[in-house]
Amino acid sequence: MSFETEELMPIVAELADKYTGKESTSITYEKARQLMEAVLYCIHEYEEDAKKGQELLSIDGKPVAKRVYSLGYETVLRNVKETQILYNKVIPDFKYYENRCYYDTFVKGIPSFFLYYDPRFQPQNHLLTLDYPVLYPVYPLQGIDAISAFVKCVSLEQVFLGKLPDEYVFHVLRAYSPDHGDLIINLAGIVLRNILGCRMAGKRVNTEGYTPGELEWLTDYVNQNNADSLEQEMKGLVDELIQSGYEGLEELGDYLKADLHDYCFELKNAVKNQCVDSILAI
Amino acid sequence: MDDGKWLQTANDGFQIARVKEANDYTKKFGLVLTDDEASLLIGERKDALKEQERVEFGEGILPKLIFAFCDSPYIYQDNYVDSLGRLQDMFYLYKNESLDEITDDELIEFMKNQFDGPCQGSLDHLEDTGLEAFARRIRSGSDLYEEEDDEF
Repeated sequence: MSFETEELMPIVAELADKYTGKESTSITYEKARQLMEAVLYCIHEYEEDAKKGQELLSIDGKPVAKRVYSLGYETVLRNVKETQILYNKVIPDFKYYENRCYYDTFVKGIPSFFLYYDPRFQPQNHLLTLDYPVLYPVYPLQGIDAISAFVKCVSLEQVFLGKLPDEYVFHVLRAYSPDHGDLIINLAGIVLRNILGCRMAGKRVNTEGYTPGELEWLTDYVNQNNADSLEQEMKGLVDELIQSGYEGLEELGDYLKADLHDYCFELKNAVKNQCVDSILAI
Repeated sequence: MDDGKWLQTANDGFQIARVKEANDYTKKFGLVLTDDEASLLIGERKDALKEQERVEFGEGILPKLIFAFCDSPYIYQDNYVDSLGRLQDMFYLYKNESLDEITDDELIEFMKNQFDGPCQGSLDHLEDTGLEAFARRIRSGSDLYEEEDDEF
């Protein structure tokens, strides 16, 4: 869906009027650019929403920019509401496992976003740097899209980590680094890698280290596969894990699989260079 | 503002007509703008906006400036167009300099008070001292109408 600038300018003019409270006839280029981005963002939101099944509205086969913008703006508001509901659902049981970045981003940052987000004049600005690195890249997204994706990712991580004993999570994090509380790292990824490591080594998932036999088994398993087949094997292991421990929660499985590509390469390198302890809690 | 109104007000002809409408009021002060003078001022408005990197969607600031300054004892027919052009340039410049923290009406009111008061009709004095100090006070978050002893 594309509109001519002439079709968008009246919407920007209207926004400028609202922004200045009709007390200023002019605005700076910078502000005008911001308002134009706001209009384009809302139109984009409408388009994304339309893909999900909302019927395209058109008069004489051509969508009306003003109407599309209004519907996009409503979509932004609805997304904010839905994200807030999801956040409120996650936060009472939220565990940050002593990781300061995780805590600051989710517990301190997200409420500030809801407080200061400006869906009318700057919906494209999500205000936060979202420092905690979730497994899905959220940096290409803007505004409520970025925050919504981030909160969804964290909620999935909480489901994943929540079913594991805290003792085990702390065990693998401590093995990863004694400074795990101060590092900007993805906790779910580290824990998942250890669980898969145990499965590949044929050992139980617990806080006890690997025996030499289990370590050998793991090494053989990795050496038998190239990176691609190893990734496929691991995807299968993730599916098994999701089926057995998480009631087949497909969304969580897809989320965790986002880390496997990197993991395969790292694991192969670690085996090759005999430094598996840099990845797994040996 | 509906689509039609926006397009209408962005039109040069409309702007000139609005400026000329002010003649009905200003002629009692002996001030009148011809078509050419109105066009010239509208052209200068575009240049000023471009120079100050600002966008104007409505009918422009010129009619407001005309109504505010037409009763000034320092403005007469001979310097009317030049003064309006300078005032218009100054207005956009100091909207930027004050970081858009004040409304159009507040800025015009201050300009008028300074022009008729301490500046005694000197546009140079208004621009270089009165408005400069005013913008500085706005940027520092001081009271809008607080006087600075060392300024005048």
